[in-house]
Amino acid sequence: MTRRIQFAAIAAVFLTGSVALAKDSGEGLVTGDPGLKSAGALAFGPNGILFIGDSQGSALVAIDTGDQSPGPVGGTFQIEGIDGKIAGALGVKPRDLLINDLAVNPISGKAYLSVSRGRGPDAAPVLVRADRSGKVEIVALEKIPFAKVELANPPDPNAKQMGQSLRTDAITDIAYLDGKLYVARLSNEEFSSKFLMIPFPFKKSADEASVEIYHGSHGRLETKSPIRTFVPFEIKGESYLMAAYTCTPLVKVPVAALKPGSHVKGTTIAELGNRNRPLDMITYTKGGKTYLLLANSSRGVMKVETEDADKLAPITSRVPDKQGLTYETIGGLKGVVQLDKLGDNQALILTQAADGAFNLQSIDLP
Amino acid sequence: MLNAQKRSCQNIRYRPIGRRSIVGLVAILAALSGTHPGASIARGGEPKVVFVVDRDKPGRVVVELSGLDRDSVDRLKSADLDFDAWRRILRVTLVSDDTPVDSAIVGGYTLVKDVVRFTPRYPLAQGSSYRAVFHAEAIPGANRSGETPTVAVDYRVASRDPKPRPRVVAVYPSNDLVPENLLKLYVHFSAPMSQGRIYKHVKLIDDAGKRIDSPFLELGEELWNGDGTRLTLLFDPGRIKRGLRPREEDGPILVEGKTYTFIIDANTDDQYGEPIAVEFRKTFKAGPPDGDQPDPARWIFKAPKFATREALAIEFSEPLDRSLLERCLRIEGGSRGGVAGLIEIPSGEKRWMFYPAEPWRRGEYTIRIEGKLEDLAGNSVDRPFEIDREEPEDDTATAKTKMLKFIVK
Repeated sequence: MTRRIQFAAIAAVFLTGSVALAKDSGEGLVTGDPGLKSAGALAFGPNGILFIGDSQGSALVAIDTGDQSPGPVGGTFQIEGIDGKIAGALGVKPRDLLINDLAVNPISGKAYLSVSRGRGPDAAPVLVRADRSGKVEIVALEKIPFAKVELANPPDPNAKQMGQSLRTDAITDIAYLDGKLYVARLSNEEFSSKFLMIPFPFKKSADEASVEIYHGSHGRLETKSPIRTFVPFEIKGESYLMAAYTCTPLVKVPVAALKPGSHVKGTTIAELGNRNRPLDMITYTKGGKTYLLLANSSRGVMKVETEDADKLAPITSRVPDKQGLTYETIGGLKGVVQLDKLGDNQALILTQAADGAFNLQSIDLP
Repeated sequence: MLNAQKRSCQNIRYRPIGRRSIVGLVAILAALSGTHPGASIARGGEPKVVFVVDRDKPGRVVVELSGLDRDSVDRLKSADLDFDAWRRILRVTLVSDDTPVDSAIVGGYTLVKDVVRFTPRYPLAQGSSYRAVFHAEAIPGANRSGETPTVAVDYRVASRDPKPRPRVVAVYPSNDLVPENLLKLYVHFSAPMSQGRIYKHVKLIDDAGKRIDSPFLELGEELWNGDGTRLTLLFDPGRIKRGLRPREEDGPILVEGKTYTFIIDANTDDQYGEPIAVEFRKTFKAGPPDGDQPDPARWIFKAPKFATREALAIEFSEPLDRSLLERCLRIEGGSRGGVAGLIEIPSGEKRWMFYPAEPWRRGEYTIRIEGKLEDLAGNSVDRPFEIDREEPEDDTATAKTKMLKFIVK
């Protein structure tokens, strides 16, 4: 991952006002059924607020989990065959279940999983909570404090005559940072990067910004590749987003520069190598240094030093495999498909075993 | 039905609970559509568990426990039971491989007119078997040292009626010659498909039959349309873009002059988990790479005749993205705004035909073009797939024409 990136702003803002606003809640939540059509990307915000990406419903939902009691720190968190436990509670076989994302509530240390019950287009969205005791429960969503912002799709003027529009945008990842929800989307038609910034509490009038992100190779070829996963992190007090692209570069973007209509240059700080499908990542601090932990398809889990990310020159030329930030592959971690931070010293990983079963387990941060 | 019932009875296994193990045991095999799928062989006056169709929600099955003695009912009424407590009393589980799974199904419990009713939060799945077990000893205050009747009932939801297996009805681009930097494939199925594991079932082989390693971008959330009938596959952009490691190491996915076959295997499953049964293949040849943007100034068309409903036919200089063609072109008739009509995109995606709903009127019409309209290599009217910053004169992100006009005389 050796190249430079640029951000380019596009004018289009595909957001409409939020659906639910209430007077009695600082976070603008009302109690009811958020009406999820799907449950995908998850991210925790402040005070036990969980954001859920609903690609099918073209919406983002914030729910108040009410989960604000600090949980035990350290020790083991291990649930083997969690897909079987969830499937059983939902009355289906594990093969009829999809686990879409994992997020740990930083307050309680409880894990939340977004799940699809069924595999067809009518699959039911389900939210699951699991804790260190091994308890796995389905979170009732029928009557829950929530707020929702709908992401309007670009108009499809011919949809009426052609029948239903076939267009959808997948929400590939979301993250919350300092009052804003950052959202990466990927269209099933046009190939372009869509990155949204939505203030939370959601507002009725949309002052959300949409930024189209380009990145380069060899410092000269800009493309409009979408972001697959990203994570906020800090270097020396400044906030950045570290974004992994669908075509593998790892890119650092200063949050301060992400303003509506701005043209932001990101920096490729690492190219993680071939066939390296980035799946999920977290940042953490250990021994005064900030690290990135990245799960990917071909190399298991990689630990990347970010300490030099502010000093490194952008990677602008063809380089050997390990130029840019240094990284090491963490041995013994196979089949990691999701991960999130679990307190300051642990991560929670979702792994898929050779027999197809999923396990949830804590690891010490390397 | 009778045979099926017998078979189901033989398959039941249950674990005795308490001194007197099973008071009643019923195996029910019934269709969801049946008028009364529930029944019991429990003796009169004894606890009885049945699966029945919910009177309020036809098609939904609930579990009812009746025949409780007065004492038990009173204790249930006075207790404030949560889900965990209820499911110890009346536990409903999926039966997999003739064995009930560990997790109880989530749902709501109510006690109305001395009948305990369990309503699963999600409908029971077609083709699946379930077991409901009543544990009398779990009722608060029950005499655990005495006889504790246990009632177990099995129920199988009928499989859905056999239907024709879905098939692949179209793959775009439809041409058998594509640019070597082809970015997307659209696969249309005749019925909704399963999601979440599609990448295991699609592959690309070269003309020697050798499988191309990881040609498609594998996303956690696969790119389907809303009803699950169209899949979008993106060729790995890391191997299309110049200068990135994946392409440096493995080269491009498609190489000009070579022939490839795209395969969707017979185990690809539909929304019910049934395989499509018939493998699909499409063979195509890779042509020269395409780094140029679609240029509407080069499109050929002529104004249709006044007072006719003849098609406006636009001929492109190259095949364009089939899906974007459906929504990125629009005809406007001066102050009258958008013109209603039907679109036809003939095979090859090099032409766009518009049949107006009303005869053409005299005057000026505009063909409005969305800048996001792409060709087969991801070059859009707005910008090329890759912009070479060191050659700004040749390859800039300048938007091309987005409006074409014609006059009906």
